[in-house]
Amino acid sequence: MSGERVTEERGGGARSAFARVLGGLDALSRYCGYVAAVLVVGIAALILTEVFCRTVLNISLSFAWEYSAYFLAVSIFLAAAFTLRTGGHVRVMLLSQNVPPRVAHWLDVAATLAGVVIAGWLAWSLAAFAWKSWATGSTSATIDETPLVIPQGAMAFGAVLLTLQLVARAIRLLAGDPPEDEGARREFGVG
Amino acid sequence: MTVLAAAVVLAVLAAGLGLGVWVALALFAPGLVGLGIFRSMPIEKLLAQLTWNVTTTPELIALPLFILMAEILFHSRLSASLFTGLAPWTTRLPGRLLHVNVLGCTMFAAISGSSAATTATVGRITLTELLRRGYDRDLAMGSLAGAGTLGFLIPPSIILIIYGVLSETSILKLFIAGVIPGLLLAFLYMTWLGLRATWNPSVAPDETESMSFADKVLGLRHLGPVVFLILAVLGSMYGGFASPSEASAVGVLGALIVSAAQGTLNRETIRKASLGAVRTVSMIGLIVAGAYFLSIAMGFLGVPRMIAREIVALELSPIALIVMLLVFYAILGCVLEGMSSIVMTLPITLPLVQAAGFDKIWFGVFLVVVVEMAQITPPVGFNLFVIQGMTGERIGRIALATLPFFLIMVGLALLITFVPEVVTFLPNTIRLSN
Repeated sequence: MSGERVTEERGGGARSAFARVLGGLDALSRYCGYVAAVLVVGIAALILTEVFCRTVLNISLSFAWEYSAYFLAVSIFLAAAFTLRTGGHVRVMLLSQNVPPRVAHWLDVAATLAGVVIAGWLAWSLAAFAWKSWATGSTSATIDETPLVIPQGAMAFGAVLLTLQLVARAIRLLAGDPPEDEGARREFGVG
Repeated sequence: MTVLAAAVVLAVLAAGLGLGVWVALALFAPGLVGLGIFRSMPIEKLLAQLTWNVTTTPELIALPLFILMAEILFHSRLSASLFTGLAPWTTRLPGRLLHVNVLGCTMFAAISGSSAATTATVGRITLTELLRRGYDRDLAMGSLAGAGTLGFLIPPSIILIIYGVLSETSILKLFIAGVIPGLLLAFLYMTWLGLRATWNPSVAPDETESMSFADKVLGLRHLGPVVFLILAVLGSMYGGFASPSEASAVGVLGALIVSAAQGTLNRETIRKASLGAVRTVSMIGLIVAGAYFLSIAMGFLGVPRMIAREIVALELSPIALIVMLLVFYAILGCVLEGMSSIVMTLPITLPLVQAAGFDKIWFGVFLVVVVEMAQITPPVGFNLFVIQGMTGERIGRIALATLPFFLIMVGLALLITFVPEVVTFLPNTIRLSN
């Protein structure tokens, strides 16, 4: 193997390693999106069970409401990165649609970086929040005494993932790659 | 000091939105910057606590379930059966099948909480059929865009759920209040279609197929699934045995049953519906969290009180205030998607209209009408986008075709302003059993 080829492979290797990291992040976002989708279905199952138990069996299932609320909060955040990657979060495109493409490109970069800062702030604060619940061992004020670190930690994880996906978006934009996963966007962009 | 804080908050919000930062994230920014500059408080703690509180609100649970229900139905054959069941009954009305757009959307709105979903689901069949049969293109597109917005007004309604959570109002009462204005709007649309067809009969070609009355009645069985779902959702709520959240869960079950009966329930449907739903849930949920943080942060900075003082100093009559808000929201609705424009302005406008003596329930319905207008005003109008996706037509032409329906909505907004009883009559009359 000649020295030249090694360098070349290293260059290509660095780029493909990079692509692997972004691809891995995409896969993780997608898996978390799937988990969030299961949680949403889970909310339906929990509430239906609660309705059945209350109206037919006359038993109250207090945990159904508590867990549903956790499922909702967690699914919002866990799916946030997947939603971003598939173009599901709304944004105002008025300015960028009315400027030359080059300007629009840099506006998009700036908006994405602003997004990194805000999502990062949110992720940091949610992580600290979950950490505090863990450190103090705080539990819900219900009879189930759910350790709050579980839902709060999952929320923080979703916010971190969203931040990373925004970073990845900035990298894709700067590398000239399409920032959204168009295939997934078409598949799931219903309404 | 407060003036400066208000200026900073508005500037950061406008800059973020204008730059194209995702609405949900842009809503967090003004609070973070404003509190960082003008108040020494643990912002991170507040941010996390508020986000946690609002996303775990029990009333919000209806949101993902109504969205999931609509997604399941989108993948079913419901819109085709809606068309088959309704079409024969409209052939004698002036405007004929154009009315199917309005009637279909009205019925579907009673099981769907979103106007984009209503437009997409109903329009998938009706628009194709109307254009194939040679109906006037502009009237077919315009009436679909207009009637699709009924998804927000006729309960269940995602906007009313979010408004209920943010303004701490009974969602059930809001739902009841939306019924009469929704039906009234549908009636006005149909009147307009009838008038247009009377003036110019060529907008609606002759229907060659004629059905006997018995066949028409028999055809009503196609409406069975929709009626079943309406009974399941609205029946369980107004019957008093279920809260809106519980009714939404019953609705999901109903949608699964309909989907199974129509042979569309399979793994692929469930996968697509649940992933499609979770994307919308995440999008809306983050916006709600951002809006909640924004409203509390603005409260800490004293912005709503200051703006309220300024507006009170103008000594507007209550009606003038509402008309001013109507114009304000119509302009905002051109650049912002409707739900976002409501949630970010609510902390300022709600105290204002309450001080002017308006009812919270009434204002919720008023805002929905205003949001509906935003759904069909270019350049940002979600219903226009949905129809663009279906027809490939330019947004400008679709918007122009929708203009008469927009004006009808403005008329409705003025009507409920001058005669608030249109909204408040039902919720004040019906005694809720739960």
